[in-house]
Amino acid sequence: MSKHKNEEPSPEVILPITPMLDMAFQLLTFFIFTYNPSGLEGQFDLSLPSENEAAAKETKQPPPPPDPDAPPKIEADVTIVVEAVTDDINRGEIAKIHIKQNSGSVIVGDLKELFEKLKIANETATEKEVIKIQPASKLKWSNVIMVADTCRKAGFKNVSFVEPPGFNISVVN
Amino acid sequence: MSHGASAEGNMEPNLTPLLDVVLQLLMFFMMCVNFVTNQVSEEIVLPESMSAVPMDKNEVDVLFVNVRPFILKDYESKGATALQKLTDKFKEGDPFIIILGEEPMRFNEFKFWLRNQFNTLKRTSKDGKVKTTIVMRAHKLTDYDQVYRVLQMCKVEGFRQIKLRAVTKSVAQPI
Repeated sequence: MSKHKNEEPSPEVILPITPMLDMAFQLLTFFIFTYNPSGLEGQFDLSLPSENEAAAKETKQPPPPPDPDAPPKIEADVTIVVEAVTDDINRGEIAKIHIKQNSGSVIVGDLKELFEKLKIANETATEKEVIKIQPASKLKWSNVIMVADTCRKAGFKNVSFVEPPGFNISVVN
Repeated sequence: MSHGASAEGNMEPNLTPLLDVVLQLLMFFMMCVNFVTNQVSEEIVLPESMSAVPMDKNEVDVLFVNVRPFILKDYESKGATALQKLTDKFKEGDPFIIILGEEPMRFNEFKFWLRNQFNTLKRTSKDGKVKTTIVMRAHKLTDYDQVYRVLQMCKVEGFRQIKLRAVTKSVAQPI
């Protein structure tokens, strides 16, 4: 039986590459046209006041005993208060920036000026890495990130976000 | 090399390396597509940041929370039924919380969902502690109070680690 099989010429296997290549090219074209590389995403850690701290501030009660798992209380020499434009055209853009320190408060007009002032503030601050930002409720998130970037560039590596003025903590709980 | 020119002048191009390259390119594009759909909701346009650092690829225990304002014109391309469903629930500018695999949520629904997630994670955790990181992807046009409210909700429900996403600026530009 096996002898008989060996005598027969083996059938020639023809692999049709052309239709496969056509298909591959079509798929490739589809993916090239639909390829939309989004910008490279990065991330940063966030510092927020603990909910106990915020709740105590709202109800004007003494803060509850500290939770051992809770993040440490954020102490900063410098606080940036950012006001937002409220008119319909530029709603959510930066209107004014206040730099609040123990020595007093300064108003700056733009991010470049903020950077220059913060560089000086960073030299005299005792907490050189920590800064708080208190943006207005209606400030656009992209502007908040721009202010945070400026603070980091000026040397304050640990940027924490404070609740916006008039924020009602009870809506969260 | 047996496919080369023979004595009769039979010129056949060697398709194998071409096919190899094409399949490799195809594989690359298919993998990219999968990677993007796993994590990104295309409805979110992230703000740009110079200080955002590359993501830690070892970090797998994460919950993605996408936040944006509801803007009607962004959803007009959806079908009439879907649009009607959205407009019944959301008004222009309302906070719109997107969790992949879930219906868009309002604050109260999100709070309920978050509480359920936390309780499930706590039950399934070996030591009873939840180590999941919340990755917050906020649209650049979102109002700060909406972002802050979501962040506080995460903290109140018990999540300790929160990270914010932004598009990394490759070259530091002058302010």
